[in-house]
Amino acid sequence: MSAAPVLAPPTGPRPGAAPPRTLTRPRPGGTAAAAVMLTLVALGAWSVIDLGIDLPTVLGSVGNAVAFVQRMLPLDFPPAAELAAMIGQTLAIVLLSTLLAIGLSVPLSLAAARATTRGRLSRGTARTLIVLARAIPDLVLAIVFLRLFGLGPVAGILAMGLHSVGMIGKLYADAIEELDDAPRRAVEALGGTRRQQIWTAIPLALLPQIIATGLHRFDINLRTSVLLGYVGVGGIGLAIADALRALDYQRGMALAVVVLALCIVVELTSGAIRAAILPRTDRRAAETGWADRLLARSTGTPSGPAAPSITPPWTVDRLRRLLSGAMIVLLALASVRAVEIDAGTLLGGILEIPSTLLLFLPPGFGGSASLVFADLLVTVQIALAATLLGALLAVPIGILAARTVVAHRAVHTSARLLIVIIRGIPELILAILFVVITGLGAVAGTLALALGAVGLLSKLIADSLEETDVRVQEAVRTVGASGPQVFLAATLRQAAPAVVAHVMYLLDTNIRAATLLGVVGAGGVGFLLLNAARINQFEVVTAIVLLMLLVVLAVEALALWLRRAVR
Amino acid sequence: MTASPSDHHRPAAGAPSAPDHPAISLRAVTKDFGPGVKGLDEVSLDIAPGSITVLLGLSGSGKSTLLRHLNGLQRPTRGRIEVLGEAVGELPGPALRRLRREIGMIFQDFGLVGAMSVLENVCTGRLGSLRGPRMGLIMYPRAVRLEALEQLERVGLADRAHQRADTLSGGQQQRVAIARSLMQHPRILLADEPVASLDPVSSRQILDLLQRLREEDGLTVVTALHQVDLALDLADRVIGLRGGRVVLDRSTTGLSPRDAARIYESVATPTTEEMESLTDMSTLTAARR
Repeated sequence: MSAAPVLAPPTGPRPGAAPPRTLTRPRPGGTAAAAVMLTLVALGAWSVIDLGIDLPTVLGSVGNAVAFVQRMLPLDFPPAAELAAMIGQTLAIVLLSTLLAIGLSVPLSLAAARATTRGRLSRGTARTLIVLARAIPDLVLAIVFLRLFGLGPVAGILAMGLHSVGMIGKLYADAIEELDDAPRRAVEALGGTRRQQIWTAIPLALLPQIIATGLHRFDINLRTSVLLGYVGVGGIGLAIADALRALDYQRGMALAVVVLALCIVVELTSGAIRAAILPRTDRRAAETGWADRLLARSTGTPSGPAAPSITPPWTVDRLRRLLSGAMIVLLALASVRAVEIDAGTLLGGILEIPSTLLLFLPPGFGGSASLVFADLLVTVQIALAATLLGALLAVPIGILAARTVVAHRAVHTSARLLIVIIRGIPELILAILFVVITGLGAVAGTLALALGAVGLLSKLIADSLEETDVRVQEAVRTVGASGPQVFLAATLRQAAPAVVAHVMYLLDTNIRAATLLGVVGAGGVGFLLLNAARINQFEVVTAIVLLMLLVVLAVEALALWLRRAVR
Repeated sequence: MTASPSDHHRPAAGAPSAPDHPAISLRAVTKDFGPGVKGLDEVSLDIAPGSITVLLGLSGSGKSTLLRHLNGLQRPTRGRIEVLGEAVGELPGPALRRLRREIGMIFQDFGLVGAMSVLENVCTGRLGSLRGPRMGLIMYPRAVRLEALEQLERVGLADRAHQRADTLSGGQQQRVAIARSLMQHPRILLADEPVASLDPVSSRQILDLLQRLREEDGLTVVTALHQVDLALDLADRVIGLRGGRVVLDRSTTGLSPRDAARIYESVATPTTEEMESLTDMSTLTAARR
């Protein structure tokens, strides 16, 4: 690097020498990245203004909100048995779709990861399938499957199951590539075959990630199931749609509250399970508790230095693993019963796949091209505006929620709680609320997505702040730096690339979500999509999906480049 | 070399001026990590200013714990620790931060922000005397940046100032970390296994640098090390720890490597932790060398 300062030899002053450069020259990549980020912020601000989101509008809707609240009270819950059946069906759909996705994702990700697959072709194919699964919205898949299998859970399970592969498969593949390669190489070195290497080194190391990602997706699918219920898949979503169509807000909102409670319960449960299984650096290894000692005594194994044995002793951990496995199998079987999958319909549907797919080809606009493009622009605007507004709210909350930044337990615990509550509200419910409050259109969609974005982004920010290397923070602390100094110099600098990546990811998800929320009348191209499917203009569905795909791919390419530039 | 301008140097209030007054003094210091687990066990010792002391011992013997007590990263359960005349264990936050400015610390894993430039990493060493949080080189006063360059020059890395820290080799990163602590104008330098992840040549360079800094700046150096031969070359005094207790404490003059290595070998009644760390090959080879 020729820009390096030319300094005098280690001792002595430098008389008359040019002053050394004490600032780093800006890199072209860095400058371009800053320009792009500024442009995105400007576009976001323009979208906010252009969509007509301003304080007076929002405040002006307060009257609507009051009227709405009056109409929805008192909440009218369905009878307990009916409610339990609805909840059971929703959970069964979600569980089966997630298990289906995991089952498909494991082999796909093994084929897609560089660590496990050498062939370029199979890797490329697997990657393409994963990207494709992610690219086609679950709503569109549901529309296709509803046509094939009729109204009911099967379409929902398949739609969410296939679409989830896009996320789960990608995360698994990434996790496999990030695994420590040393165990595999060790098996390679001792003469193991390729298959032995993979079976020895991968599954156990990957298991926590498999479960954690699966649980995460379960959360997401639970929310999606409400949306899909809206289009006829069944469960609580369908009941909400029916109630709202009949303008029965008391019943509709009561069910929305049920969904909210369900989401929070699932979120808390899965969070606790994930925290328990993911390796944590600060946890002591192999702690034995009273239950372990009790187990050891009852099975006759002496505690203390273990007697040599080729079977592992019964510990709480082992029991827990066994019971969890058994429980998943039982729940899956119960779910299959609950959704009453009919083999005949399933087979009939599968046979019809080719002819149905032909309906979607070739793509066309059915004479409403300008309308499609105008609505597409609105969708992108909604996403940009929602990301900007969401980020403005999420950054402070995320910082407050990071354990490594805020030492006060009360502060970060309550910030985390706030995040969980915001995250708990499905965006669909938010969108319905805002549609009722601010009227049909883009404002409702934007506000719903912005609020939803706070939940997602602040959690991601808090997590990436907590994932920074605390040893670096400690090193800076030892020079006598104060808390804020440590935060800016060590924590934030380490987390900055992740934060930029998260905001871009948010933009990406918001574009997809903005499409889907159109279904309930929250503005954008989604409404056209659903209408086209209803009046059998399937070629328009394809055209819209392809256009959305282009937009999403463009955003992803931009995100990829930005991530490299700010690394 | 007289690189450190003394106008930045603020002796801590109540700092001892007499040269024979110990820089560090521990009295019956005990650290409990829970029932039956003692990080430090009744440790008492004095360390003279300007000396180099090496802590020897197996992993888990309390070396890091001892070092981390000296700058208040951990606080003792019982006992009294005085560093530069201040009772570290009892100082409130701001006073502790003031004291930490006088105590540099370097780590086995360097503790640099990888994505940040070398120069900015060095500049962070001055944060203790600067007000307010900073991000980006431009936020540090020019004088600080200039001095950071000088300190980098002292460790021989001025030409790397504008590279990302994670593009440097391990030995170079450790030298950057040393330059960062020099920005504090420390009177004491603590080093927690500073060469444990370095090759022999880089290790030797780092230890030579520590020795040079002791001579040039009159630093008091306390370092944990695993390599007995390096320790004997470097130190005036070695302190051996086992299970948190001091089991060896003597000057290095006349101490043979074999005698010093006994701290690793003659474990009369090994605890389970020590048995476990004995299987750690790096410890074993270090001890046998």
